[in-house]
Amino acid sequence: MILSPAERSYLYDSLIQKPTIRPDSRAEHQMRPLEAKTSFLPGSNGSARIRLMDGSECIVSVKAKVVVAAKEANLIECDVDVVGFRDNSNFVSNLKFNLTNLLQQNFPSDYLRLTSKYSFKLFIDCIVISHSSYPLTLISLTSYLALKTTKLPLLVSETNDEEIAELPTFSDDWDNAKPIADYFKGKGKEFQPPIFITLGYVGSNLIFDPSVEEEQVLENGLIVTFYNNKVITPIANMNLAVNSNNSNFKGLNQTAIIKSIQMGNKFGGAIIRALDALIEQDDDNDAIF
Amino acid sequence: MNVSDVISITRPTPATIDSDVDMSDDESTQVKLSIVTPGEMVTDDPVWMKGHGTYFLEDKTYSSVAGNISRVNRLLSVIPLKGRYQPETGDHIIGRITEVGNKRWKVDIGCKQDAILMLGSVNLPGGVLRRKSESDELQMRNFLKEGDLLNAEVQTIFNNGIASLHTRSLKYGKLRNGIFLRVPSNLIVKSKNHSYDLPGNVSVILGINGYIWLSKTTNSSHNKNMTVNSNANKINASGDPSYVPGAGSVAITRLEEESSWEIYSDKNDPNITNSVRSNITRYNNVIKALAYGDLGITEQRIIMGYEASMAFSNVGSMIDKDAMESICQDVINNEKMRG
Amino acid sequence: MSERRRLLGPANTFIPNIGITSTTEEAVKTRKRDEIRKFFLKTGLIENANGSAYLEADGTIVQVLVFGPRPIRGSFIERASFSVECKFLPHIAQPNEGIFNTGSNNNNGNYRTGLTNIEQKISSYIETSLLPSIILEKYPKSTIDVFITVISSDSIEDHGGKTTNSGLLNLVNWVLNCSSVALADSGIELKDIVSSGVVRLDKEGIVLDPQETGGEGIDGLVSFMNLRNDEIVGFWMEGDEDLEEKDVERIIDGCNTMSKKIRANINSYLLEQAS
Repeated sequence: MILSPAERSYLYDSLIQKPTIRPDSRAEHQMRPLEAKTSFLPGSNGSARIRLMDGSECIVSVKAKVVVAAKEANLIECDVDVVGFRDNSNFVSNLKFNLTNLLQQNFPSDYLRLTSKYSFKLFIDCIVISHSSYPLTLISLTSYLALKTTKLPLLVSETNDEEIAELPTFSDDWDNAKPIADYFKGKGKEFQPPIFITLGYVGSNLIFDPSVEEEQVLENGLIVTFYNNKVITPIANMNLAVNSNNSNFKGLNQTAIIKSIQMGNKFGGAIIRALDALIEQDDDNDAIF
Repeated sequence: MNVSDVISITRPTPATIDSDVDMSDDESTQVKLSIVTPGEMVTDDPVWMKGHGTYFLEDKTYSSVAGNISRVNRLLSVIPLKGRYQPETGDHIIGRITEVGNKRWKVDIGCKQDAILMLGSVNLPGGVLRRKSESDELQMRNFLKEGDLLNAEVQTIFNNGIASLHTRSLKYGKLRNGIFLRVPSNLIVKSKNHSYDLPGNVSVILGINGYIWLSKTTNSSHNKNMTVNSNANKINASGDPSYVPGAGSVAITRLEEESSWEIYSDKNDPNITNSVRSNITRYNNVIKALAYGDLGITEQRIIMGYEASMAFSNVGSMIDKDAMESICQDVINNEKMRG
Repeated sequence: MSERRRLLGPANTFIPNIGITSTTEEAVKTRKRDEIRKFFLKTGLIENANGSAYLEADGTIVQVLVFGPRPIRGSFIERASFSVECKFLPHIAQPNEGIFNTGSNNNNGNYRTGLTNIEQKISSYIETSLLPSIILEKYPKSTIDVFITVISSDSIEDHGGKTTNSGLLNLVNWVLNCSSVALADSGIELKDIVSSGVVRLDKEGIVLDPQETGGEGIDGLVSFMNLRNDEIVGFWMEGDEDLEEKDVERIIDGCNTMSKKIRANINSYLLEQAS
């Protein structure tokens, strides 16, 4: 995606206005509208799909497997596949690193423990079918929906297997399966997977969820994590315009970083509420496509 | 704080499948009307000449695309419902330079091959009568470079289907002071004129290839029908670039005056007010809404959509699906009322 | 680059007795909270590269080569393209590799085809941080490539039983400082030398250049252009604690202190080289 110098300077001049004037008139804290659908893959424990108006689309499938907990380095494994990019390209590797890190740091995987010996391990597969802007938020919001709607089969064997070596057995009836959230409720905790919010920094303005055109003129980009109703680590900056010759790219200042955290704290909750509201409304009668 | 101020998430709407499609095949018709799909027989009468979108097998003509049958005299072709833009001579289009080559630029105009713009088909600084020299060839990148947007006219179509463009009029040339958006090319209705001044000090160029340019209306386009005072023009040009693409036809003397380096400048007008910038984004959302509703995009509809959009004090909320549908509905109702 | 195959030595070899055993453990214990470990820096070791630097800080050994500006073929670009590739030597353990380097795409038996996820992440951080410092406009139709080799890493992964990225951040800090020096050594025009600092905020406060294990806290790695109004070019925070705004400020300030100390060292080294 190349912009002409005139387009670039017009866009930059608009974005640095106070308040910022974005090409689609979005407010600085406004995300692009999404269209989402959950639990549509019959072979997965949880699944979700999000589409944007510009045709960007991501599908996430969550599968669970019973493992011996002591043998696993981590109980959540992510894989990201982006159409048009090699699996070991810098672009895909970074997305995968970020998503893995997000869940590794902020997903309480202890709750996946089945017995003293065995545990569930979650495999999260993300496919980005099409994207224009940096797809990290798209992937993380889709994973949120998929994890939130993931159902795990009901354990019928004993939870204490320290004395007797016994493989965990599960109820045959899928209707008995419980969402992950129930595992958390039993332990007195609300289940809310972490999400990423992408922010663009331009002329002391911070804008949520920059579009591909906006990315081309940003001075810097920030990725903040929102978890349990507040901003938390990992937080990092990055050049969102991948492979571009962005001549505006420059450093940040402390105020911008603090402001990004404040904005995340202020508006992140609304994103979570919108996602949760969608899950509640979602039913099987919806069209998949 | 309202959740919808931050994000709107909707569920996919079930596709309404029209089950009343007549499945019966009427063999008797000579040439079936309406819509055909690839592989469907269009006619078995060999008198028809086969045009675009058809193929010929054993004296029968079949469609090779999904689209409408069109008959011009004996020529039978199928116009695809959706597809890439097909250039035709005289089309007013918008393109983006993709490559600077030997005496020519390659231009992306959204058709299957990049169009070409010959060095000889553009106005160069120094007036129309100036001869092209080798030094022009060497500094082609100073005129137009990769990524630059321009509006132009299709001059000819070569045998291999590649379009050749020209910008030899002051209404064509480099685009400044605005934003670019694209819609499917089939939504643009061909007409005599494709550049309009809209309310709110905004101009639009609707490229037939579906590329659209929204920009600030500059002074000279207001004066386009007035007698040109060349002195005033010079003063104007020294301050801010007075050249405006799509400014309409200009007397040849003025063409010479204005064919300075200004026409290839990358500098925007420094005095674009925030209200103009906001209006441009409003038009941007209106056009996107019209495209979402699959409505053909015309000047009148853009203006009606703009008026309908005034109901939204927060223009940012116009990007939701519901808002876009309501704007389309308003436009259709408005049209019905006017008849 | 051509594949180099090594000939094996004769069977009855013995290992020469060179080098001394590391005294890292003691050094760590005696270091104060606001003290940075000593590091060794040398430039221009590699003749064939346009710029190079070698850095040793206890068990962390990094070497950076800069090639460029080199001409590119093909389409015209107005500003140089800049790329960074970071690789660990094949048998050096990468921080938290059990978590991040999963999947089969990178490790194919004994050799690997591309960079691992950790290497890619480090490459991206370095690229993002150095990008604003290089005057790319001066080099149209060129490319500048930075190759980083991590020769040794002593990063600690385990903080009281919980995996953190503390060690990774510490390593990236030294990689970044070394890369900046290599860029300066190459003579490529820079707006400023980027330097960085890494801190850990725990219950007792800020620790510069943390190496210790145990305890919860937030780790921060911040890279600056110290002579350009302390512009923040790289920012990366990890940890599991709740995050307050004032914590972020403290971490940035702590990193800035460390960055300035390192910058002073780099400056005096470069001046010494020049004279």
